[in-house]
Amino acid sequence: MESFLSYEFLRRALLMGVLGGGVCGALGVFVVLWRMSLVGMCISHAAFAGALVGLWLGFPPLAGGLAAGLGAAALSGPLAERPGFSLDTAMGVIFSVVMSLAMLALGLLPGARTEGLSLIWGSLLTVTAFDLALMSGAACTLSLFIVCFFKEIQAIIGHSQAALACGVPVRQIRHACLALMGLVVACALKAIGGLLIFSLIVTPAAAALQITYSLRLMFVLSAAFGAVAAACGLWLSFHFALPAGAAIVLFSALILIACMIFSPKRNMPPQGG
Amino acid sequence: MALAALEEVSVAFGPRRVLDKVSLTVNPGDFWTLIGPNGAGKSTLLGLFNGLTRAGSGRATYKGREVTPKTAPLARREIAHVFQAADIDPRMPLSVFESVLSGTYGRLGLFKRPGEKEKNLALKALEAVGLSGLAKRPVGHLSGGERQRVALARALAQEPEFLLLDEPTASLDRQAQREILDGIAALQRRYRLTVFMVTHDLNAVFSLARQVAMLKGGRLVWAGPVDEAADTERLGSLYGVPVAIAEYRGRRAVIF
Repeated sequence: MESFLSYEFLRRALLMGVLGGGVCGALGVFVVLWRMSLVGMCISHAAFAGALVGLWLGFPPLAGGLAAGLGAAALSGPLAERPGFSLDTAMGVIFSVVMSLAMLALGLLPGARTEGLSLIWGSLLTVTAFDLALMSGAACTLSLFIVCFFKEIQAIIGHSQAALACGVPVRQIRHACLALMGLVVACALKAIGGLLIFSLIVTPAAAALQITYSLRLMFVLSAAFGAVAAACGLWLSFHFALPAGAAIVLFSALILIACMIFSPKRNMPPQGG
Repeated sequence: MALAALEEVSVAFGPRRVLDKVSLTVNPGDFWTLIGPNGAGKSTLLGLFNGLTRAGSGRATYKGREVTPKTAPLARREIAHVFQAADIDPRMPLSVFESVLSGTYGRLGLFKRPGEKEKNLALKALEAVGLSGLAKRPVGHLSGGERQRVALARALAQEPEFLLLDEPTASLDRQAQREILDGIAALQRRYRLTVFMVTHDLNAVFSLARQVAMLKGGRLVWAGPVDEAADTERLGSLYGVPVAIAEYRGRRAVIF
């Protein structure tokens, strides 16, 4: 561990990984409990495609990722609310389109495409101080959102229609959450990688759901699982020359499996049973 | 002054007209039940009172003010809405007490944490529906009847003036149905609530309601006192099947 932390770029990568993992983990609680996996997947991959298209057009990938992530969030929120609308079909189509755009932009990139490829797999080792500051800003924004609107989030998780009927601004909270997802994904894209970031959003939250009945604790555990997965994945990547993003996501999957095995909820009947 | 009213309200979803020029007045202390066959537009009508349904034409009012997307959030603080019992994930990280407490959040407003007042309201509401002993239990671990009583408690914690009930006994067993209906009757008396209930249970209509509205194909075909509603021809025409009414020890039961 000492040799691991003796390099400045590795310390920065670790900090970025822990921050990114924690933020993605906390964000995952919304995705898992509000059952918006498809919406979340579309937003995260739209940010990925936006970053690649931005790179191809000569813009900073972060700007492209932010624009596409926030754009996808703005589009998918109202789509998800339309009565009688087949959301999974629409999200399936949007997912295919954004992935095609991503691959198209990657194919059109001139030269060695190193930066483009690093957006796919993630590149924690090239994290700059600016990237870290940005990620810290996203982490603060998300934490503030959760603290300020915790009771509304809890009411929506319990029964969104009942929350709406008693005067909770359900739509606004949901849309803000989707916009935050676009923001966080765009900020974490360079470090974690576009293909893997969604796994790091969903897996820690799914693990936390296995072991607690407290929403507060679920947010804390999910963020902690994301951060631990990022730190351990990075350590494994350093020692065994593995791609960092893949090591992080696989480690978070191991945490999920462990939580499922030791879950006090493992004998629960399925919903509606 | 009427507590709530619908004035010539029509609602359409796309080309399909769901409600057609419905007018109805709800006075303080009334106990209305709304009956009619499936697809008549009952739940759509219920949502007009708190703005969950938007009127295409005509207007819905609450305390004399039109319910619009702008005014609905204010009206919703005083109008509680109990939905049909829904399945809840047994792993849901939410206790019974937290679920009931959430009924106070609309009135409380943004950026304020629930204090002693809200917690006491939630505890009293749980006591009123007989679930004090289950306050700490995860809400997903409850039976259908218990979940519906939690929904009632959540509505009570809101300290509503007007209670909307959307088929509160649907998909519950007989015993749970009886408990819920007795609970509603007791709560209506205790809190002097104005109630508007959508139901398919005609026996509940005659044991609870004072006013009955009948909806068929989006049209309000009849509205009036419960005694006049117990008419075999009227009910038979509403449901399109022959109907008989039996009386036993002062209670009326509808036989299809």
